[in-house]
Amino acid sequence: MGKKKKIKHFFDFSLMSTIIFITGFGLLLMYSASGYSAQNSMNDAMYFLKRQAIFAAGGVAFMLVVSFIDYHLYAKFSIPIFAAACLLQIGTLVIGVASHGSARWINLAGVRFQPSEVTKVAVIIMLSTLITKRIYHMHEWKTIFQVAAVGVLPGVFIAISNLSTAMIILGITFFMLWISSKKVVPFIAAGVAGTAVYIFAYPVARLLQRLNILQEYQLTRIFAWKDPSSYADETFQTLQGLYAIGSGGIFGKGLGESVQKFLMPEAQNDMIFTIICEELGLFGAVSIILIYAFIIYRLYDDARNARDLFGSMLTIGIMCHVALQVILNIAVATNTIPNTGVTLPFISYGGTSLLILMGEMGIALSVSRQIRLET
Amino acid sequence: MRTSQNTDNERKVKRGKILSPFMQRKLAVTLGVIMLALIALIVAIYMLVKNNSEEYNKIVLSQRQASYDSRTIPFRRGDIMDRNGTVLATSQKVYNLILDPKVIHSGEGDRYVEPTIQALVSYFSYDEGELRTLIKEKADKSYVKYKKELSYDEKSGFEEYIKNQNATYVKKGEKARVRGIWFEDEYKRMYPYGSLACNVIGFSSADGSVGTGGVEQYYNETLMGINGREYGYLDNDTKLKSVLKEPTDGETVVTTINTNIQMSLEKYLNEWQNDDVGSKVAGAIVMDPKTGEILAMGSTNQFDLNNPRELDESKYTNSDLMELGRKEAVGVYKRQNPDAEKISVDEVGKYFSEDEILSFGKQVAWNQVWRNVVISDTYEPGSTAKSITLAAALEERAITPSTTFNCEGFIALSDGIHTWRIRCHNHNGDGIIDAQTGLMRSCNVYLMNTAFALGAENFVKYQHIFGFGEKTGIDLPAEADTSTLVYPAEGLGRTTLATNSFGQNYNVTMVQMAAAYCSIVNGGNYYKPHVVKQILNGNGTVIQDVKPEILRTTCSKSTSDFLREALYQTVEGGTGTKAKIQGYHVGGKTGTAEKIPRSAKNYLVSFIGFAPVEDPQIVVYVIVDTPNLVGEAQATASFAIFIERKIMNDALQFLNIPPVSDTDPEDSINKKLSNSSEGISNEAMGEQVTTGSDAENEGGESETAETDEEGNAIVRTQAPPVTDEVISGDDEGFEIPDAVPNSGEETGEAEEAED
Repeated sequence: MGKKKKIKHFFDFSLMSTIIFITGFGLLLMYSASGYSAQNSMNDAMYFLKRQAIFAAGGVAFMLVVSFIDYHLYAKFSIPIFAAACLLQIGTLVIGVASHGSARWINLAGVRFQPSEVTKVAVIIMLSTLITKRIYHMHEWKTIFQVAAVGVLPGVFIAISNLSTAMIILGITFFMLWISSKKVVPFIAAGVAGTAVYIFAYPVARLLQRLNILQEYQLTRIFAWKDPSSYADETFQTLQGLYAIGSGGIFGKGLGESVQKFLMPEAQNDMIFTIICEELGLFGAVSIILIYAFIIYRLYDDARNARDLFGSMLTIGIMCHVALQVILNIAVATNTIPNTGVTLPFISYGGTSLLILMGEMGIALSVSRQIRLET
Repeated sequence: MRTSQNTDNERKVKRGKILSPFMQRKLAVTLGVIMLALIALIVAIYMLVKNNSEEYNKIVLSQRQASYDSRTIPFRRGDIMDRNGTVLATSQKVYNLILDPKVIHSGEGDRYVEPTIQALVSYFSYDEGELRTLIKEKADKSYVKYKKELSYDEKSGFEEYIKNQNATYVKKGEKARVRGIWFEDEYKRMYPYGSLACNVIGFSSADGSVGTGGVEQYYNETLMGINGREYGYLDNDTKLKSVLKEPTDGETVVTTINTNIQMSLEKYLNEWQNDDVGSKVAGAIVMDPKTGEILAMGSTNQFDLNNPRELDESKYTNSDLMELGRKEAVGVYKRQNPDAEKISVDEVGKYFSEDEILSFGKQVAWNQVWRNVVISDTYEPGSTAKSITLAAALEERAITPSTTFNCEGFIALSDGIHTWRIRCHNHNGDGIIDAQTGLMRSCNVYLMNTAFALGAENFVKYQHIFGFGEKTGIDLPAEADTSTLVYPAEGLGRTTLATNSFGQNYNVTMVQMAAAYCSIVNGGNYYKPHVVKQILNGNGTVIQDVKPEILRTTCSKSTSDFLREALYQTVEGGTGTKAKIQGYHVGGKTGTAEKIPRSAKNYLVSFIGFAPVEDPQIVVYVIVDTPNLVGEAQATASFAIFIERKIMNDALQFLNIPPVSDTDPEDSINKKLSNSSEGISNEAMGEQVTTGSDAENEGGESETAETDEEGNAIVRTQAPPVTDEVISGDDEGFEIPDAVPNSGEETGEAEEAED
């Protein structure tokens, strides 16, 4: 070990190229899914594609720019960033624009975006900063609860208007705490409890219905989830999504040959995975999932090898974010969990979501840039 | 643990060392959980594909197919407008309420049935019991048209109501839903003016594909569009392709009708029919002599275009309908069994049911109601035809305007066996008169002499030049074929030539007479009478202009000028003085024809007028068929004149034709000239027939042609010709016409009768 080693900096090119690839491929899939409804509603089959392509190009540039920014900057500004995100979130409640039911959008300087996307990043940064600072106290309940509050409070607040984003924020918080804390049993217990809720949701709902404790409409989502064809009115999208996946078969109908996209409103949004399954089949679906798995693996590797704990925690948060969103989206598409609106990262239509995601990837790349290699 | 970048002098950073071992493990576990979740999702997708691929494929295809299930998109039938763009017929989108009992019964435990019925009952107040039975009876059907012609408001209101109801059920946590009701688009034909111009417009079937009568029928192809259709098919690769064919809407027809004039025309005909003497039927037509455009046309036969099949029960009682039906049934039987014996009216009960007979009766009644008197009915015109005889003779130079004939009150004609005297109105004779005076006094003798001078061949030639015996080619359906209702030249004997010369013993339609007069007053151009001016496409752009079409020249300018003046004088100081309109120079000619059979003493009186004389812009022709009076009291031309004058007066105002003078104290002129109108009694009504001892019944009967229902000529025995205004007969017989126009099966022996 006496030899002086030359320091080489690492850069996660494979992560970057995979992201650029899936974003480009996503554009293609998104065009296929959205062409018909764009033609119908906007009289321009390329409408959604054009918009998304601009965001994708901007997003890739944004990612590269962010990757050159020293991520320690975020630790310094974690409090202002977090405060800004919370303010935006409150602002949304007050002056938000309703789209698809609840007010989740806000107009800022003429740009319409979803503040909850920003909140996700702010929570990741804030958690990373706090955990890094108090890593030696993370086995104490007090510290755990104090740190958790950073994720739980905005999460509960967002849950008012957007349950799925809240779930993702809570999920990220949960995983970051789990990794940083020495405690094991309480987290496993929580995980088991969560699984139990998932498994027993339906029987419990039936029981509650029978006991007349809750009204049926409050449980409709759960009933509709287990028995979509009986609730055809309420589960139109879910059911059509299932038909799409099922009819796609092993190799699919071919790119652009989806039939269900004519029936499903906004096929380019949350349910785009079903159209991918229909057009590319099980084969294509598995391929996409493998690409996500690879991205997640790269983030895992970067987190493990990050130069410092803050970078590591940042990357863990980002990894959890991507993983949760992929899993929840596909789970909804396959009706494995009740319907909730989660976008498929890099592929679903949506400018804010894509830009924020690209920013996160930029942070992860910036972390990877500071990894030193032994040679 | 560091929170900030390490200094450069720290050299070795072992991979993975930054995280403590437990964190490494936990991170690895996290990755493992994520990967497991992804694998679980792949399994979930695999199971979906494996278990449901075939079934879902079918569902997807059938859904796709269903969305294209050969949906017909109805076209919109074109509008009909008057010349100023007033909409006379239009198509409005309506909605049919369709029940889908199959879907209504599809919910488990019939959870859709009650809410659906309740929704219909509470929103539309439909009969609950009826709905219930219907849905039950047709439980396996998917298409039950329950209500027709709902408005857009009703449709959208109900759709909103269903939505709210279903939302309420969801809130309450009930499984009940309103299901299986949808609306089908359709167009409904609307006639904003009801019965106005019913014969010109006609009506169309509910789906807008068949027009009956009028422009609706004649221009059906133009008004009709093409249904659109949406359908799907499987191509060679068993891929579903969809085809959407947009409907082509029909084109709009702009008629030449002037709604204001049409309203006046119908108003005055109805006044005559309802508040005055009334008649079997009265008809009127208003034409523009410069183009042949028909500005208004109608008769006392009116029906509501919005309910064309509604029969006036006071006119058609059930027994009337049965009577008509029995008669019709005889013909139907004959058509169905051409070889069988003819059945009699009493026997029809054996072959047809009551309902069938009643429906035959209704058919006949409808056809009577819908009949366009102006173009489908033929009649002997009477003295209005004298202008045509004069025009022909002047053209052929058989006479000149200054040619004089001596009227001694009658002309004696002999076939070697019998001698008949055909009389003039003025039994004492009009003396030596020229052409203009002959027309003014409507002197039969002058006209007969003119016809003799002209000769049968030329007379017939000019009948056809003026359009008698021809179809005018008007753009309306069911124009009567009069080709067999005028004599051929070789069939025109001296007596028939004589009676033909003043408009008896041959039949014309109103539109023929009006068109002939248009040519006489406009300088000799025979325009094709027409009711359509323009065709517009859906955007209102003119795609076809119907140009006035000159079919032929009937007479020279000088003849036209002479007749215009003579007809003006007829109104100024002849038989038509009642037609004068203050401030305008009006020309015109009266007509009084005795109807067949002559012995019935039924009359058809008429007047044709035009104005202004200097530059005629309208021709108005009115006939009154069989006024509701007994015998010769019917023969009062002023019945027609008064209607004509009122229509003309209104029309001149509507067309903004400026008056030439505002003097003309008509009372004194009327008085002064009343004696010169032939056979006019001095009573206020004007040209009432005098029924004194000198007006005796004519004797002999002759044959002439008349149309039966099918428009074929049949020959009836009939009284000899009469003159207009005054009926003058004596004991002497009349010659039987040498021949009759192409007679039908009933051509019998010519019956000669003398009394």
